[in-house]
Amino acid sequence: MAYNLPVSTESSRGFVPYPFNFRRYPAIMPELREGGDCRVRPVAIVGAGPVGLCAALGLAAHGVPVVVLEADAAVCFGSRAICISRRSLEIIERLGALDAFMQIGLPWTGGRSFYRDVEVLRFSMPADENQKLPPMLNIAQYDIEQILVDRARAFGGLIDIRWQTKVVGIDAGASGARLHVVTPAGGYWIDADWVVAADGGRGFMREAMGLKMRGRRYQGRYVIVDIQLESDRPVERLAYFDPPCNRGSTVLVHKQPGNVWRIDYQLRDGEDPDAAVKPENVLPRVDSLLDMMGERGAWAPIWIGLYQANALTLDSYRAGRVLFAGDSAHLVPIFGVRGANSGIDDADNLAWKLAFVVKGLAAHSLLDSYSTERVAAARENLDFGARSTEFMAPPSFAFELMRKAVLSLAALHPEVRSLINPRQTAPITYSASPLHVAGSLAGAPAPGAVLLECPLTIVDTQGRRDGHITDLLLTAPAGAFTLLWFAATVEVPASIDALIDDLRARRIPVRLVPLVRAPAEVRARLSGFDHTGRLFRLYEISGETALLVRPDGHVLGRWAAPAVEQIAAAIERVLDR
Amino acid sequence: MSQWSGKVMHANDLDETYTSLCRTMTGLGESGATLFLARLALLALARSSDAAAAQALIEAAAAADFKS
Repeated sequence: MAYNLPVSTESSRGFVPYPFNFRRYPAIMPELREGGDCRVRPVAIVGAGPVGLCAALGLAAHGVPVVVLEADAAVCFGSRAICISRRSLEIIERLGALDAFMQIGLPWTGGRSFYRDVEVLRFSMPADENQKLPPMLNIAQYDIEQILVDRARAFGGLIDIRWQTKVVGIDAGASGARLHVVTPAGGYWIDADWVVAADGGRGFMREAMGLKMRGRRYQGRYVIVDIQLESDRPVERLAYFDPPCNRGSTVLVHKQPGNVWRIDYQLRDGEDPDAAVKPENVLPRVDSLLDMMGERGAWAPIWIGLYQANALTLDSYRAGRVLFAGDSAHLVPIFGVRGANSGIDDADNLAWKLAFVVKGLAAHSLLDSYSTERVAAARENLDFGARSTEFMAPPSFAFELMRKAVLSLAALHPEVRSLINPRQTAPITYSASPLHVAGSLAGAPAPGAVLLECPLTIVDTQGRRDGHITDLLLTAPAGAFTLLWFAATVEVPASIDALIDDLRARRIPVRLVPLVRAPAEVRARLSGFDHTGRLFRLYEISGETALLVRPDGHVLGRWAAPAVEQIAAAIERVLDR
Repeated sequence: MSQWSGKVMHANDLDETYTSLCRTMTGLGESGATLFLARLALLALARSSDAAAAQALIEAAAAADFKS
């Protein structure tokens, strides 16, 4: 986590609270034996932020019980993540929480950038007719966490969230770890076979394990202000460079649910940060910004904080039995909204792998691929995040001068406008994954990429229904490999049926989905057909093709059917047994 | 003045080139940057197809000052 503590939330200056009921959860003492929790857990998760909660839900979906240790008594306070990407929403949907996100969140597709008073960029994120979900959804982190906490209840005893339970010590060993915790009701220890460290950028776990993130820290600082304002302005990302209301500064504006607006503005060179966050200095700037935007309604401040960009990561996210995820593993600049989104992606990559290991289905080495894939993802996110930061908070005279050149050319010269684009988060392809086997066919999506969204008609025993290809990953069994079988008929060779039966006999969750061009008859087996004619084209299908997809929606391999041996080998490679 | 209608660099490549340019200038320092940019401009102009194309670039860069 990169935000400093809230600087001002006092009510005396007309501050108002967030439109959210922060429910406080009590500390619970478990049944103890000699100072320790009686039950050894397969997995303990440190931190009940979006990352820890997504990991918990993912593991529980596989039937793995988890204990989540959270230092606070309630979901997070203050201005944190607000933009959730389409990729994250796909993950959230698999975790069964999408409806609540869509009910509360504000979807958006693009934004505008201004230089002084001239519009110099209008950008839009991919939102074509094939998509089911919006490219971005604005939703406050307290809502995200509360939705996930509420969703955890659906798993009954599988997810045990321990509030006000702060981890203060860890004895990490070769076969597990002992976590020492303190609560207002007393302290104890708890043993776990595996630990997921999701306790944030300033969390205890990384320090306790003697691990250090490496990378860059940027000097430029931003003041972050959340305000309450009623306005029917559309939801978009607004960026003002050198605006008339705040000359020499850069200002970002995002609309959030519940009449909350997020305003970020850059401190000028030499400006004292301590003075800059004082309400008497912040509120007039917000006033002049709103005046410039033509917002005349009454407004009130909610929260003021200070942000300084970091671009840092651990070199490995696995330290024996401890796995790092989210901000405890990497700190990505806010520009490009890759923080929470990359953390949710971490949780999604980790959950199925850890579940397979805990259930004895896969070797421990599968968890090394979590680290390899997600460190590579972090480096890509950091690279884009760094470039975005270098534009939003120029780190030297050169970046400052060149930015001025770009902005002053952009109104008349579209070829330079992409440099102003915020380089928003996009799905990562694990192109160098250790899980890939050689011999995949060329074609999109390539091994390591996520599925390309596309409508199709889903056919099962219930009948036919309109759906999208990602809906197939929501069908039972949860957390399964998916074998998409693009062919002329829904019949598959007996050798493929035998392979699927063999995998199921070994308790490896797998679903087989034949996909055909023409309407398919209703039968017991799940299948789909390409009623728009776009699916086979998008997936570059020329002959009968098998596409094997991991539980997290990334493609494992692509072969000319039937490819029984290649499919079996690809799964064995993942399980490494 | 007309907009450039020829082939332009892919956005990702332009982004990387831009960053490389900024880092090079940062390394040279403010005092060295002006001469560096002058050399760069000359090399880029010399690669123009003809004098008219080069003149159009000069005018475009100068015209961008109308607002600043």
